[in-house]
Amino acid sequence: MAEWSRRLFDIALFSYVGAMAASFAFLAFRRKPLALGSTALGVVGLAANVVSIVTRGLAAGRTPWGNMYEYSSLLAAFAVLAYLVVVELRARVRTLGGFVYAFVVFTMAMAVSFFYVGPQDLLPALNSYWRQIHVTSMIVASSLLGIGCVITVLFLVKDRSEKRSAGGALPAAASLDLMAHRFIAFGFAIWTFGVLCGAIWAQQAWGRYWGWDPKETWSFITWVIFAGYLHARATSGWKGRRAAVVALVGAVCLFVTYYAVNLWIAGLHSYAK
Amino acid sequence: MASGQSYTMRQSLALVWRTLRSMRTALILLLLLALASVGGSLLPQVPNTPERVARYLVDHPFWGDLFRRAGLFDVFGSWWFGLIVTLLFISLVACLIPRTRALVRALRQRPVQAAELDSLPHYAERSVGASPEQVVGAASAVLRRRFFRVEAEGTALAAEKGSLREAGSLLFHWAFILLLAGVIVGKGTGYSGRATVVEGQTWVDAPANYDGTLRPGRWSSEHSGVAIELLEFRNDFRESGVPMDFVSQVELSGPDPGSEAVTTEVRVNGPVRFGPIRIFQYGFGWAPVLRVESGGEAIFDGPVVMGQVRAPDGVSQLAMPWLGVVKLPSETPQVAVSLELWPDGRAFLGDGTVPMTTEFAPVMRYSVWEGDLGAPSLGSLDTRLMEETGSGLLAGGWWADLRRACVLSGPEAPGDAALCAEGTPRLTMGFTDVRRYSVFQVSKDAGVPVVLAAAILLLLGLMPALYTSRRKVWVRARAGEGGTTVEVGGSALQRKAQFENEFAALVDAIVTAGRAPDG
Repeated sequence: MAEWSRRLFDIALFSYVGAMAASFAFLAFRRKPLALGSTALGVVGLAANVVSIVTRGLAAGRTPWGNMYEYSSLLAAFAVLAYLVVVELRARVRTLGGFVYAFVVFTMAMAVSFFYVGPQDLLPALNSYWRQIHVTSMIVASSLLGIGCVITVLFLVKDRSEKRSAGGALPAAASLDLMAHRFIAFGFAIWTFGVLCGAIWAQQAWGRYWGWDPKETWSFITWVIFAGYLHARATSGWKGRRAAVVALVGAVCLFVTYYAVNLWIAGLHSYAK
Repeated sequence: MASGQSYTMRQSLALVWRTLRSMRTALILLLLLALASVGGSLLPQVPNTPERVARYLVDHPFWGDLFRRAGLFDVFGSWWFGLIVTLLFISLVACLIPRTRALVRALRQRPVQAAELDSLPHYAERSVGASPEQVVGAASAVLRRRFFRVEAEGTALAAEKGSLREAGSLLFHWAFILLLAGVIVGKGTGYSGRATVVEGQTWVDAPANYDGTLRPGRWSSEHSGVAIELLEFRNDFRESGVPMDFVSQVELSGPDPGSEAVTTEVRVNGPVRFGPIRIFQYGFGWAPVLRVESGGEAIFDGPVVMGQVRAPDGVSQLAMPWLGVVKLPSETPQVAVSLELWPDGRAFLGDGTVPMTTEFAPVMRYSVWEGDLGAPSLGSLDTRLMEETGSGLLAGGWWADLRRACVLSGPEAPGDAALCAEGTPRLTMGFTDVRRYSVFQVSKDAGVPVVLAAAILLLLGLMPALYTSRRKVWVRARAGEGGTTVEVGGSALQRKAQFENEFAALVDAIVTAGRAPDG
């Protein structure tokens, strides 16, 4: 079962690479079959990803989000799902796929290169139903914020190029900005929920709801920066590009919260060592 | 001169107040808060890991001293972090009060009629069959069903929806004030610390019993006097050595003599609330029971709480032995016995590393030190004024002569251990039993329910704040040839793209409702 999970993960990863290539090719050459191919590969990859997660859960005898490898797999799956449903299906935009898949491929490649472990039992400290709620929320929020920040980069690029000439392959800067905002706002809401659930769980497990542990601190920093992004969009002089830069700072903080804290900074959340 | 000064003072105060209230100030303070927190996560912090701070100061003397002066080793307790938080909260309140007043005022007002509808962002003109008053009445019903606030006057109506957005946003922001109150109450009057209890012993909640781990409340902390008796500690491991569960069976009793004792289990992720305190399973360890006799009289009899040192790279922490010390200050010269316990004696069979997770033929190495103990009450042993006079091995049930470091007696033949030659032992130690101890985190935080309530309100406010918007709709009907002409106009202050669909649906519903006369 574990082997199937691993094989399906690899299939998903390669499908996403294909979807990414097809999407970039569509951006460059604007041939309809490329866009359809990208979507098809995305869906195939997502199916493989989901089955990989399910079989992993069966192999380990528990819900499959208990270590960095599993978190990354879940994050990738959710990001692709959110992208396919919101951006391709509802907004009918097909030019952003390459960038989103790049983000997903990066996450999965990191997972399989550095974080792979066989399915294992959970430590007693992790054995709580709060894990389902807190961890899934943080993963879902991370994937939404991640997509939002990818689109923010595209917004900045498009905004700069629109100053020189209108038109081009990507959607208009204003609509990229709006789309990024929607992903980030929703991601922020779920991040808030996830952090509060983490605090409730911490109270149960460690006897205090907040201890400024590095993971707690960085999830707080990330929250503050994205709160700053939402405030910036309502502040004159900060809308548009400046707010986008704040979002990118938030993306860096997100990266630190997800990767650096686990790997390099020791603490209660540490999987390092 | 005096009146000129006070005018400028009032002006500058007003300017300060307006600056504090502005969104830009909030934004800058938020970014500062994040920046300050970064420092607190990259450097070791005293409240979390004091040993790492000490190590940092030793490894980096120049920077370490600089950081210490700047308060960077206790960022979240420092005055400047508190200042940023205070300014943020002042800015928050300064913004909330006028906006809350404005919302209350807006809710009291009735929706205002519009003069011309065709200049609105959304506009539609249709012909319907019913009379103008009937159309407006039907439109009123349609809008009311969709939770709009409607003000109808004959052939015109004004409707509004979505004040929940501002209400939600205000609720979200006010919840932070509640959160602050909960934190202040909790940290001000609460406390937390660790209790080490050996199986069979009872620990009482009093400031002195925390072995220096107590973090008292900022202003006052009344301890509960609750007694915790550890009946049994169980830890179950899987075959692989991965821990499965840690459970302490305890009996809890309150300080009043008449209070009932409760027997319950404290486990990881399963704390127990008793009276005003909460008890969490934090750690555990081994405590061998030793009896030391001097000249036939017992001078030490009881369990010795042992700890571990960090395993070197490549060695499993579980396979490390447990260390402790027995100090005998009443002897001359003073004696200390440093101990190394191997709860699972199979480690000595040389079959690879054995985790010290179960008790099986426990073995204890001891070394005897004689000299000047220094401060006998400290947990660690300072051997600077002492010299080692002997060492040996004890198994469960054995007795050793400490002065000669040899074995006096044991249940089976001691084997390799050195048996004592003839002579009268004056200082003997017996290894009578091995017990476990549990470390509990005990805390009292009266603010926890308030913080939880604040968290819930935060979330309740956040969703409408992000996902509703203030919308206004106006309807006008006038009679004309071939029926009534109805005009519908609308505008949305936020989420304009979503309003387009909603407006189209509203127009359809109004037209449908106005098609046939009500009958």
